[in-house]
Amino acid sequence: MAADELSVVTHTTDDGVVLIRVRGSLDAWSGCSELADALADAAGRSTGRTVVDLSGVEFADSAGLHALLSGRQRHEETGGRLVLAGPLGVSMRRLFEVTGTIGAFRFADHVDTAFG
Amino acid sequence: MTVSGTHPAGGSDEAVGGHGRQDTSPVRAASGVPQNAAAARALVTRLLAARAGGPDGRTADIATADVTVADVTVADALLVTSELVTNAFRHGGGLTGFAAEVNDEGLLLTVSDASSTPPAVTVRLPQADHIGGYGWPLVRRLTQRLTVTFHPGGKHIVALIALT
Repeated sequence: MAADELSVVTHTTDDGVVLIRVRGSLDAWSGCSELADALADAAGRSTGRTVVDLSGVEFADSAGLHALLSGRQRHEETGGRLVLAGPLGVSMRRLFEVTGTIGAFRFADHVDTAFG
Repeated sequence: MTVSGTHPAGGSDEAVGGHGRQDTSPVRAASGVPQNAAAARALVTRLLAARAGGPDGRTADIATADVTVADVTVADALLVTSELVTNAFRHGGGLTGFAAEVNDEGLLLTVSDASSTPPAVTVRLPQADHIGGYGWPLVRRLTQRLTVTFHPGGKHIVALIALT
């Protein structure tokens, strides 16, 4: 996969947790709407928990942040729980740090610990 | 800084490189106009890699220069690049020029677009109905110097990112 491409894959685990794995670059060209749609779809399910694995994100800018914030908003509306799983790459981490949005999300160090 | 005159679409290296810059910069990369933010980021990545590995750019591994500092610095530089180029395409009527160079002060980006409208400065909180507006504040936060110069055909945004 080229560095400027994005892959968004959604799984649903046996206990109903929606896992969205994101790989590649999150920018205005790479289909952040795909992520926003996946998040909105996950929020619409009744199981309550969505885990977004961001460990494979090589780059993200505000377009990616907007998709995640919109997903967070949808989960709030439906009473769902959104967890962002790392480990975060430096680009992803800086985006949250610099925009002051770290506090807006619930984070897990790793996707394996995000289901608890 | 004084910039005047219209900017040709698909601006040449000369068109974006003549802003009173000194010719002492060790590395300069200005090549046509990137077609999207990823292409602009690739240019900046190569430029910074060349700086880390010496002027010939043969050592392309930025991380070997200084792992902690360089990683964050590169990430910040790519964020600024991505936001400015995206703004030019989405709100500036198209990207008409892009130049990146490293000089004594740091990384200097010149991003030109075809709109004389100033960049949006509105910040909306995540709680608001519409989510957005993080891009420009992010650019302001990560740049040491940020100037917007208007001319009849659009504007130039010059951003300086410290590299140390």
